[in-house]
Amino acid sequence: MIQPPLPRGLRRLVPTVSLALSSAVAWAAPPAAPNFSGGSTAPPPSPDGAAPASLGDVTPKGPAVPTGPGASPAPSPSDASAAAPTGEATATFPVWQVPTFSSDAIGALSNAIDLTLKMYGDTGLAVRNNDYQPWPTGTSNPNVYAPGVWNSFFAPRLDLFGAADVAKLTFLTEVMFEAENNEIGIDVERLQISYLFTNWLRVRAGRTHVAWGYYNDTYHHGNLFELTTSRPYSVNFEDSLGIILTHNVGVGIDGTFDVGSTGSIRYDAEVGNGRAADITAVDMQFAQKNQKDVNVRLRWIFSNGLIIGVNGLRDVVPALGGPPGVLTRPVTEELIGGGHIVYMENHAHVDIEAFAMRHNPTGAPSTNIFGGFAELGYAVGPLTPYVRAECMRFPASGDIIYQYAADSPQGILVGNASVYAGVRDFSDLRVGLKWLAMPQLALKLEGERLGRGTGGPVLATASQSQEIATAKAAFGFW
Amino acid sequence: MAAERFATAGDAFVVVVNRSNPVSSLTGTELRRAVLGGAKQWGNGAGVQLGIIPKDVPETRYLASLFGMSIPDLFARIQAQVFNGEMRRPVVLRSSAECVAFARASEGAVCIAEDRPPFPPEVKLVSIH
Repeated sequence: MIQPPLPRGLRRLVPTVSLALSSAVAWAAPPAAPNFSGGSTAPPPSPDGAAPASLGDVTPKGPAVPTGPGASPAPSPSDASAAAPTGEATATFPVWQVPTFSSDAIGALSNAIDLTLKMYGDTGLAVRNNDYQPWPTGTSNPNVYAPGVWNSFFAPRLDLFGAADVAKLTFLTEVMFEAENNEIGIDVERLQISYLFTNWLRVRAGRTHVAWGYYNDTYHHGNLFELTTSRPYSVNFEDSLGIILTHNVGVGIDGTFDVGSTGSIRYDAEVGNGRAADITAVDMQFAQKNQKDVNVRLRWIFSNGLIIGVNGLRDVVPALGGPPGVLTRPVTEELIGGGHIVYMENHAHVDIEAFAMRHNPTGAPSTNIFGGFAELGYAVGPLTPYVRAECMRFPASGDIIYQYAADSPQGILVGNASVYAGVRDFSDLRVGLKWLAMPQLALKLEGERLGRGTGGPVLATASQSQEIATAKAAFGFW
Repeated sequence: MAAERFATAGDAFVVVVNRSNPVSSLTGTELRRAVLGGAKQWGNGAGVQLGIIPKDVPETRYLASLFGMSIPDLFARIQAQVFNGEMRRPVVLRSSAECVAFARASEGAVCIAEDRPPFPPEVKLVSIH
């Protein structure tokens, strides 16, 4: 079996991984020789009726197998086309060659499991003006938040994306190697298995991105696909100051119904562990509560590409205690409603999302948070200039979950106050340019102003701010 | 027996599926939904499986043009949908002949081939309107 060349640095991987990569890189470097034999009979379908083909099918796997007595050696596809007969009686057509375990066990295994492995990452340079951003953080990287203008190259992420299909059963996973405080940590960000019953019913289970709005489960950890250099704050990850639950460990169903020429309706419904007591963590193995979060999303997908959707989510944030003398954060019900309008056709990029969140802490007054963002871009060839404005309004009395102080149980746990502590209005404005130089590489140049205000019109009264200029190369190989 | 034929006369390329696929014609929007993960299953119960030549070749240009996209845009969209778990990884093809062979063998196949008859009876050509 002739393997296509592997990317540099991957040749030493174990054979099993090498097999997966041989399929993965075939997108970029398909093998030279075809895998056809002459014949007039199609090979039998797989027993379950599923598509037997995969990337492995086009990999040469030894001599072609004649299909009948006296069959001639296999012609190449071009031969088959050129020699296409005009009469039905003598017609010969190329055959999709599926290897068998007797002839090619590795090739057959590759076909059977249809496994792929992709890699995503990003690197770049950021320049930060910290003169007006006195808020505390727990980072050990001093130039990120120390006063003055600081610059730093960065290469903080490697994302391994694996996926496999067997008939209607699909598996996918994302394993992230991610820098935090200049040290690499490993997270299984997605671990999802799903079974497709029909277009209107797919069941999935595992650790998934919550079906919230559009951004949260359209963009994952590979920055290549995002327009900007990073996610909106409201749908950022749990350990990155996110407000809305990003990951869900549980089960969900989704499906699509055709509604004629006007488009289709898509629904998602999920149940999972929800928020952990430590809001920067995800309960992956042992949930800290018996009550589960429930999330429902409903979308109308118009035939012209316009998407209009609404969400509803209920969760309960467990109580969190601290050292003696520190007031325990009470059990808090979290209710969120949201809506999104999206249009990604005809070179336009429009994603407008908004949410309203209510917290009902046991024994304390309820509070509300409102927020949203608008991300707009227009592609001119491979270039997409864009702008994204985001704002969130916190309650005047402070929010018990996300505006924790340094001496609160959550603040003590993570070592610092929330970036939202003491803030009435939080804003983030970005202007940038994405250049999709090739499907595997996006270059981004972005200016960002992050503001924290104490009241009044958003942006205008931001009394504390940070300006960031970022040049980033985001890439993905498959 | 020749392939059941529905393609619009005069097209340089045709959309090819397996004969067991009940689809005989699609609108551009329906084809887009099928190719880009919006619809995951054909009427015969087989999972939609796109076959594509991942290069700047006429077949792929034709497919991208049906959606009003450039080839890099199409590849980026496919990659994003696979990353999302919304569509299966496409099967890599290298020619129209491979497309025909793929469609013969796979009940869920959909791909683009040059309109060069005859086509085998195990495939069907779908008209796009």
